[in-house]
Amino acid sequence: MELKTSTSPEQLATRILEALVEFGADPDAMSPEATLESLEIDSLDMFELAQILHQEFGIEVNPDDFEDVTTLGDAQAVLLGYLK
Amino acid sequence: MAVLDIGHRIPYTDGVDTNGDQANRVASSEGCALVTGAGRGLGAAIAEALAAERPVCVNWNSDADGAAEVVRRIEAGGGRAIAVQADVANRAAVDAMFDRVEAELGSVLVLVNNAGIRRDLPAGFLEPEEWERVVAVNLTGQFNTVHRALGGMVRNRFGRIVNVSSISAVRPLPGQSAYAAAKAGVEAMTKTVAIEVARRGITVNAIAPGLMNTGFVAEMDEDWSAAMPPRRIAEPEEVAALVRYLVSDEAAYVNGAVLNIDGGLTAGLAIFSPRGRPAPAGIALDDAP
Repeated sequence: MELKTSTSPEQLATRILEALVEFGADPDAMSPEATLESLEIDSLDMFELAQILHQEFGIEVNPDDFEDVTTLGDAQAVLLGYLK
Repeated sequence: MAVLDIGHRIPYTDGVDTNGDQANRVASSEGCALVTGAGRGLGAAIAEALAAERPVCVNWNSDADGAAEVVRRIEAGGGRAIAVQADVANRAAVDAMFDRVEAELGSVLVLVNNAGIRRDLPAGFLEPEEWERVVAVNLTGQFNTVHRALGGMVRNRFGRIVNVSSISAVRPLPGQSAYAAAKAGVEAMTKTVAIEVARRGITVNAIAPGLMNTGFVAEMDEDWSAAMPPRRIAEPEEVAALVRYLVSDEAAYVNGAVLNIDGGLTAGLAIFSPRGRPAPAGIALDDAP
């Protein structure tokens, strides 16, 4: 599946947040500084997020890119980077 | 980099299932089953057993006629099945098989890893290529299908994976260094993946059959029935019935288990062989009562 070049950063950001809420993250607790751990987002959630982004946007998530990711802002930066 | 507005309650939570960690998105009867190595023997029996519940992909690699016959029997019984060739050791072939199965039968929500080969030789005689091929099919092949299937299962919040191990994983016969090592690896992989994905409604279990009345046993020179506690070897349908249970709703809490189905062969310390040769448990007692 190829990357859908028509995807806007806003579309992707919205879908990411929607997915995290779906996984159980508290919307009120979401901020760029919030750690994924505090949002109770773990590696299985990130795996499912990768499935969603591949199916819907053609994005191939590389788990190595998340080695230094601790906050929601970190994760979003990595994921939005795939659109470049 | 876009600035993300995530400092307020996001409006799209309405209608989003926020408690979906364990809530199945599909009925457990939906999706299809994929059984590897299903052209004959145990795989064929499993495919036929599962066909009563859902469409089945009969995977094969070397037995086209057998797979076609399994499909014919399933269809004659009112079920739906397709036969698909793929060497499970080949990741690209596995991906191509899943692509076709998902297009024709829907998501693979039940996966039974049965495909396997043996090359029994003393370790000193076993060539590196033979070791690698046995491990590639029996262990890496199971990982390849699990790897591919998990995405769909996670998204559907439902999945059943049954990996076929063997009593050789814990009670090998001489000559089974590659086979036993691969099957022990299957059991370790099973337990690991089971705890990784459990909260998405997915169970991952292994079964460890003893001797079964399949083509392999038919080719053996001697009758091992007397060495089995029940004085008979298993019929493949008996083992398939265990698989059918493990993929059922009733088995939702059975996870990460390795279930022996060997007539009690591995339960005891010694297996009595009336002929005095090493018995499947590795201990032979002549003239045993």
